[in-house]
Amino acid sequence: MTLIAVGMTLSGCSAFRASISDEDPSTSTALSAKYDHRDLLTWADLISKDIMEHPFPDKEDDNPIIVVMGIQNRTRTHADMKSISDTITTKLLDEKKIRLVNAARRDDLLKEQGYKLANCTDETKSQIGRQLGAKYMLTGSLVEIGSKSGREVRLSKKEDVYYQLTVEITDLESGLIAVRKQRDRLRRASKPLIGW
Amino acid sequence: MSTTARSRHSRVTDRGFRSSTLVVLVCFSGFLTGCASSHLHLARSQYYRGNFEQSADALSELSRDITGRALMLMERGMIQQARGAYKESTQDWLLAHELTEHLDYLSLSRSSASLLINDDMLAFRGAFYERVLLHAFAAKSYMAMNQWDGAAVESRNIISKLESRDEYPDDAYSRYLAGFFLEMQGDWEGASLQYRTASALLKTAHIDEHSGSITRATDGAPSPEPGLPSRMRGAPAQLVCFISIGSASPGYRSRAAGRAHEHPEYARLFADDIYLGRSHRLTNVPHLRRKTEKVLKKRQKAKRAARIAIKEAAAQLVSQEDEALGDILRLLLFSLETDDSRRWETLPRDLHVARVACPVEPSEFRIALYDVRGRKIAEQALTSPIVRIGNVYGSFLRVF
Repeated sequence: MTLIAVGMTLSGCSAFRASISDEDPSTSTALSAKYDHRDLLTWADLISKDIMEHPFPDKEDDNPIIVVMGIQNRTRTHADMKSISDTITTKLLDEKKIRLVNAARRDDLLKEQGYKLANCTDETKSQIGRQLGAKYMLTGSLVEIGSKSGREVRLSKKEDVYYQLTVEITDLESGLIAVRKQRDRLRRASKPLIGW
Repeated sequence: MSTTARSRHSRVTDRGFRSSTLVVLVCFSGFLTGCASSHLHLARSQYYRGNFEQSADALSELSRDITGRALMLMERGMIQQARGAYKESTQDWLLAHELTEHLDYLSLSRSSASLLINDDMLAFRGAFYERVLLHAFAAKSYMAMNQWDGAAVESRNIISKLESRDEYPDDAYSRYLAGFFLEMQGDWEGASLQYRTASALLKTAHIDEHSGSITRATDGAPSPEPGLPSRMRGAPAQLVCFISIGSASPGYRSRAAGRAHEHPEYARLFADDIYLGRSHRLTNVPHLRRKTEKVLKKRQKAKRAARIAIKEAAAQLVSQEDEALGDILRLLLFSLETDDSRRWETLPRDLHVARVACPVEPSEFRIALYDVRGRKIAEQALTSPIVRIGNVYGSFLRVF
């Protein structure tokens, strides 16, 4: 017994040591049911593939200019929505399917007119997009529906978290939606009700 | 000394050591509780004196102990908001929220300690209404930073909590605030539902579920606001101002105002010297607290009875070995037998909302405060934060 204790002390139990290791972000395990880097990578990949497979843009409309007007966060988590639109548009740019208005130019024009992306209406977004010479506008929303297990005698609490990401590309001249793609996922998390 | 005698002597010494350790542990736990609360008391006192910088300094270092950490974060968030450090306030409240969610389990170690000493040994999670208001105040800080999506995230957390509130009281102010931020995000259906629910909770005001406008209610029926300027009806812009009045804690109230008969009761809003309308009280925090305590009363009564029995048993056990030490332990344990008085003390007493028509791009907003007798007691310019989304101006104010 003493030998085991001494051995553990000398080697240092790994559970009590700080450690750092590189992980593949696409295959790493989810630590919670909430929106995380896995969702960002998976959805950006799937949505950009969906858009690329869609017959968009029209043949006469090769390499159209798109302005990104943000993906709205409609969840209960403070998630960085810019990163998801950035990842999607990077993939589309790589495929040379679109041209993109620089976000700094967009923000400058918004600022000139007394707005920020966060506080302008859909109408203002379209107007700004046209002024920037864009043909299309990319918008979207991330929606969350959560449900927890009710009160009963048990040792753990279960929580289902459902997310749905919708991305739209709107024709700024006609106001019609040219592309709309959706992806979703449901993740279940379990949490102990009793602990030390 | 024979082996038997040595063994007996050793057992007696062990028991004596264990008894002494128990007494020392009880003393130590009482000491730790006292340390954390002195920082909090200083921060709160400075806050109610309007010395926000000193108040923030008092809580610049949070205790590593998890017991009172969430409470410190809640208080510090409020202090940061008062000094205009909105980002820091959201960081504190976000951490407090994460901590209270993380602590949503039965801790065997802390529960055992609370059964021997008092409920101050349990990690503070905040009362249900405090956990809801945490999101309401965080939403206002996000609004001040023009981060409307962030404010809407907090709104959905409010709704999620209130929808699963069990027997705890509903909160019209938080419902209204959640509705407002959903409306600003274009979710009219979600907003209407919140306005309707908030209106049903009110006796003195009526909220129109389609526009979010608030009017005084007479005998349950809405009545037009007396004195509403006709030239402002149908004005293209609106001002929505969340006004927090007074202190929810009796201990700090006197320090805050000093003149009990001159407590502000409501506010009137002006833009460019045009009277816009008045604020309406949607929530009274002490009322929420009383209702919450009523829900918890039965549970606390049973726990207290169990705790007293355990304390007596522990004292008797020690008395069998050392009568004097047993008496000391009994005295200590029973002197520590207090109710859990930890509360978010910087919360205001009344939570008002004013939603009034206003001119587009006014040069200034002013606010006048009136006491219960309708006498004007103070007037001040509404300067910061004022943010705009479309033709809606959003602002908030704390009046002590």
